[in-house]
Amino acid sequence: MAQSALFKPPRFSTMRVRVLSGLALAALVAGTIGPLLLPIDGMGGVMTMTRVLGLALAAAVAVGSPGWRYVAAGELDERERAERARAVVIGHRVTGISICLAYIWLLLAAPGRLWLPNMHEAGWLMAMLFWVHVMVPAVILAWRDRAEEE
Amino acid sequence: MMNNETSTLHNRLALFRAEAGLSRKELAEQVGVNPQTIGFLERGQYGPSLELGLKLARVFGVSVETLFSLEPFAPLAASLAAPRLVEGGR
Repeated sequence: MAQSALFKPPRFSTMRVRVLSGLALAALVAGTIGPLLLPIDGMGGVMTMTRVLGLALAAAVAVGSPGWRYVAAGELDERERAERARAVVIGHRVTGISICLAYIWLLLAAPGRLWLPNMHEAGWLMAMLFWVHVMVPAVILAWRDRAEEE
Repeated sequence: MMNNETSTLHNRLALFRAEAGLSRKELAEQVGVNPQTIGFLERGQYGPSLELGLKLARVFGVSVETLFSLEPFAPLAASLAAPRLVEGGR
C-alpha cells in the first residue's frame, strides 16, 4: 500500500508505552488541571511548557503504538486486532462519558453559578481530552500485554 | 474481557510445545502470530480462530481435536497412569 510505504510508524515496546503514557498523563494533568486548582501565579510559562511536553509525549504514544493510529494490513495478528478493537471501544466510552459530564456541568454551571473555564483554559482542556482519547487505546494495550513474553 | 476470551475452550498447547522443544517465539513464527499470543492461548485467555487452530495443529502433526477441546483434558499424570493400571490388572 502506498500509505504504508510512505510512512512506516515505529512500534514502541510495551514498557516504553507504559512509561511515556504515564509521563504524558502526569504532564497533561499537572499542566492543565493544576493551574485551575492551585494558586500558581507567575508560573504560566512553566505550566505551558508542561502542557506542551504532555501533548508531545501523548502524540509519541499515539504514533508509536497500534491503538488509535492507522494499522497496516498484517501488522497485527488476530489476537492483537481483537485487543485493539476492545481498547478502542473502551477509549470511546471513556471519552463519551467525559463529554457527557462536561455537558452536564455546562448545563448546571450558569444557574448554579459554578466555575466555568475561560476560552484559554477551555482550549487546553479540549486539547487534554483529545490527546487522552487518542492515547487510551495504546495505554490499554500496553497494560494488557505481558512485557516478559516479548 | 476480550471478545475471544473463552472459558469453554481447553487446549494442550503448552504440553505439545514443551514436548516439541519449541519456544513461544519459535512456535509463533511458524504460525505467523506475536509470541505473546501463544502465551494468551496457553493460558486460555484467547480462543483462536479456526485458521489459527488448524495451523497450530499442523505444526505438531495432530488433529485440531487433539489440541483443542470443549471438555477439559484429563491431567497428564492420569493419562499416563491409566494404561499401566489396565496392564497391571491383567
